[in-house]
Amino acid sequence: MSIKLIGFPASGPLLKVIITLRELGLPYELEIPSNIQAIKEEDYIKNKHPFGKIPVLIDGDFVINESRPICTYLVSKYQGKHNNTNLIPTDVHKAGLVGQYVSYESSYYDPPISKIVYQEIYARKFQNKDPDPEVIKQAREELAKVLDVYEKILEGKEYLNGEYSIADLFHIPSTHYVYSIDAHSDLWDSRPNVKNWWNRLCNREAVKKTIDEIAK
Amino acid sequence: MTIKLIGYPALGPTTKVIITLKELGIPYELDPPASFQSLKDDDYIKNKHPFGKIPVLFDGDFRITESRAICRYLASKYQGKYNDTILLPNDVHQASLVDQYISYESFYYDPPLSKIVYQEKVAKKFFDKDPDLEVIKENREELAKVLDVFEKLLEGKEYLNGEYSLADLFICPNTNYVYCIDTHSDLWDSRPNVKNWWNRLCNRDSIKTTFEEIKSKYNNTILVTHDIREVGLVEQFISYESSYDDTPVSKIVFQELYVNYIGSTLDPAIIKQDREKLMKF
Repeated sequence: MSIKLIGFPASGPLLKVIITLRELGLPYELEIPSNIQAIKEEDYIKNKHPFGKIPVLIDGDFVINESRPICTYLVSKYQGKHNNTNLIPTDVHKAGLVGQYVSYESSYYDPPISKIVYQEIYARKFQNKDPDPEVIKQAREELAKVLDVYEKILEGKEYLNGEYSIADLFHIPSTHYVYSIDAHSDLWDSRPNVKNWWNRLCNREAVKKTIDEIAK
Repeated sequence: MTIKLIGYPALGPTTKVIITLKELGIPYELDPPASFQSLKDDDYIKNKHPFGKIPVLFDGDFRITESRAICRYLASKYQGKYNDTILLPNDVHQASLVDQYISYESFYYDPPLSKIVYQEKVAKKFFDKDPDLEVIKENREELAKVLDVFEKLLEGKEYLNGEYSLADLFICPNTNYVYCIDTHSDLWDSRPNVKNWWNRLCNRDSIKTTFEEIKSKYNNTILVTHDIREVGLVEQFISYESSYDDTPVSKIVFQELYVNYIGSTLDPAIIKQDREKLMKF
């Protein structure tokens, strides 16, 4: 039985899962809800996600939601089965450090970058509002401080924990959205280690394929 | 070599790690930093936490930061070594569901709860400001919706994933702060499954002991001062420090615990030093 993934195609959290599925060489079917209302309906709340969110992954009878747990589940279960790609190390110490970098992404990196994504992409599209320059400016400053830390963390390393892992992967969707905006790519390009890290991530097959699809 | 934990016990993230260490029966040494200012020192940033945060854990030469990551590491490595307590199931499906509930805790439950902690504990107690009733009302409403979902999730279950796990453990520190406020305990007590779940958690030895230790430390603190000029100066200092914090949650508890910590080790030299620092701004 094929893995089924439920979500809206351009959603950052969904893209985390899609990149993970591709990295692991896992086939899947994407089911796109008919509209935003559909995920707030009683049946969806009861059987898919009690908070009415996406993505949700169904593997046979097993239902799991929340993007990072879904990805970790896929890795725990399928890593090494279809190819040699390792997203979470087997060594307990290295895996612990990957968990640490996953926490850096959700605690420090994601909040400011999400504000920029919202202002630049969603405000106009879905709420007919102009981007708020003050919010963007503050979020850029916050993100710049985080990237200064990443610049040091990446010194002498290709990826956050040395080897590619799920922690690097989680950064990709939102970074792609903001990096693609000319006014913001300097945040990564002005920091040599960060720039090389981002380019390296963009050159991975699974990532390239996914980013190309978004462009369409 | 004993595990070393750097942090302040009453600070939510550190509390998560302490409860985890106790649950697993792991011996450890607590090493509280000299001050919040020391977390921004070059040496701390380089050798302890690149974002200048606590907690940090050393297991021999191995260093790990970020409370939830630390707790998972401890469970992965030590679960079953000192006692039978299971915090992370071995089965891959069950373990993933625990991850899912941890995600609910960090992204849905904690944000409104933290905002209530701030208004009730920091604004009122330290800045002599009345809590913002509108903010409290909004966040109570948001938390109530989350607890409505938890009420359903806990139907026929003792814990979020059936058996006790890290997901239940993680909700304890901040819940303890807010539940102990009379006007808010109804949020949990008015929902039978949630109420029973919370009581069950409070009755676990590791959690009971940890809460008692925090209470005794907190009750021994002396509020810094009621001198309005000194309050103003320290307020400036705190807002200067918190402008270096990137996350709203740590900003809240950072301010909260700064007060408690200063209170608990009230030392005229520290106050004098802080006043001098503030004078420079």
